[in-house]
Amino acid sequence: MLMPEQIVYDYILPPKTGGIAFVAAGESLRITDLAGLQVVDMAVFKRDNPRDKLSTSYSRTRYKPRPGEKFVPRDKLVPGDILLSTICTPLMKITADSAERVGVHDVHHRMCNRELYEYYGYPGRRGCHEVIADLMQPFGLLPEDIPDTMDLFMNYHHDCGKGHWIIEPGVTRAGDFIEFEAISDCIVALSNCPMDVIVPVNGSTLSPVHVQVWES
Amino acid sequence: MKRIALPHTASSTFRPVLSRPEWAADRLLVSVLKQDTESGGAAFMDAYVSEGWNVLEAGSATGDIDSDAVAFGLVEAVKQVRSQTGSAATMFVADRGMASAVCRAVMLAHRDDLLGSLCGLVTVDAFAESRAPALCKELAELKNLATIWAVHRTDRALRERTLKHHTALQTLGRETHFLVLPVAARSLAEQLTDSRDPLGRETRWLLDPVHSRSA
Repeated sequence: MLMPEQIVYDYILPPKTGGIAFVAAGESLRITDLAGLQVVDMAVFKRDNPRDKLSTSYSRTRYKPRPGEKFVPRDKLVPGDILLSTICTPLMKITADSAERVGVHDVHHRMCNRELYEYYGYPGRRGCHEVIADLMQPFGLLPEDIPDTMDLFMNYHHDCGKGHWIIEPGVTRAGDFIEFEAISDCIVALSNCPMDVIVPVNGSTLSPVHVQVWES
Repeated sequence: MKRIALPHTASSTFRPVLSRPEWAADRLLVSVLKQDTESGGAAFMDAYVSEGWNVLEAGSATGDIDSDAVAFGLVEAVKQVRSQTGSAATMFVADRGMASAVCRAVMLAHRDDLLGSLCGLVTVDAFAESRAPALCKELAELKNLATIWAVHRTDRALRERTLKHHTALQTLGRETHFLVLPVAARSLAEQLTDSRDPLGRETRWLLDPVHSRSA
């Protein structure tokens, strides 16, 4: 249980904004979807070398097998799974996912960005990519250095029959959360997804999320 | 950069100095740092001036100060600066032991309509000061005041008191950030100067958050 005296960072991230949480090894991060159905794009970087950054592909496919376990590339991440970097550095471990359907987080899709909005008739809008690139600029990273994100609470799944991906409103209810424990000292860049056009990925209204870091 | 010593009527240890960029800037950062124990003040001032802030330094030579005198002195100095610059945003930074004086100054400046449309307040260990809780409660009424409540890691009871106030502000819908500083924290000036430091980062974004609106 999260105790007040353990909290080291607490902030409510408003819709359409981004923020950073610094999470030291051993500390935990909780992102709570305050109203439900809100997606948060999350990029993770190693604090002492931000170029060592989240790889959702390795996180799905380079998990350490149990003895005798067959290699199975997975399509989602659930509690117990480790977020790995692009060079397989263990960054954070998923420790809890309170939604009724566990593991409904996109780990295949790149962020919304300026081009997506422009192509679909909304020129000039900035997406999660621009937000996260701005957040990481002080750390010496350029927009092209930003990795694919883990899109928390995003309901994105494949339709094999139709041969394409399906984006649907999320499954989170108000107060649902996901938790991570940092294995390395991490910089976690978060974009409260601004998508309120094109697809109903955030339900009918954008809403804030609660970001908390605590020590054990 | 221009540096101007402002006339004042407060105590002899209170020497407000305004540093301004060469170009016109309408953002004002008011810093009250403990100069006897803190280092990095010049780099701090350089950093924020280069980022487009007018910086009003109102350091106290000792921590032994009359907070009411400092509060009135600050408001007097802000008034002088505001007569020379615009008033888009004002941010106050209070070092450890200075929160009561600065909180009172924010309230007085609000009453004198000196704050502009956006106002920020950054404090360190504010709730260690006996007068701070009442002043902070008063400040909670200001809807346009965004706050950062930084607190040192070692005092758990102080952390709890600070978090409780922060949570109360969240309930009121205020923009508020709670942050525990590392055990071996650098001086406040050094933390604020470093754009990669958690407190330096959070302070820069307090009145200018990263967002998805068109540039």
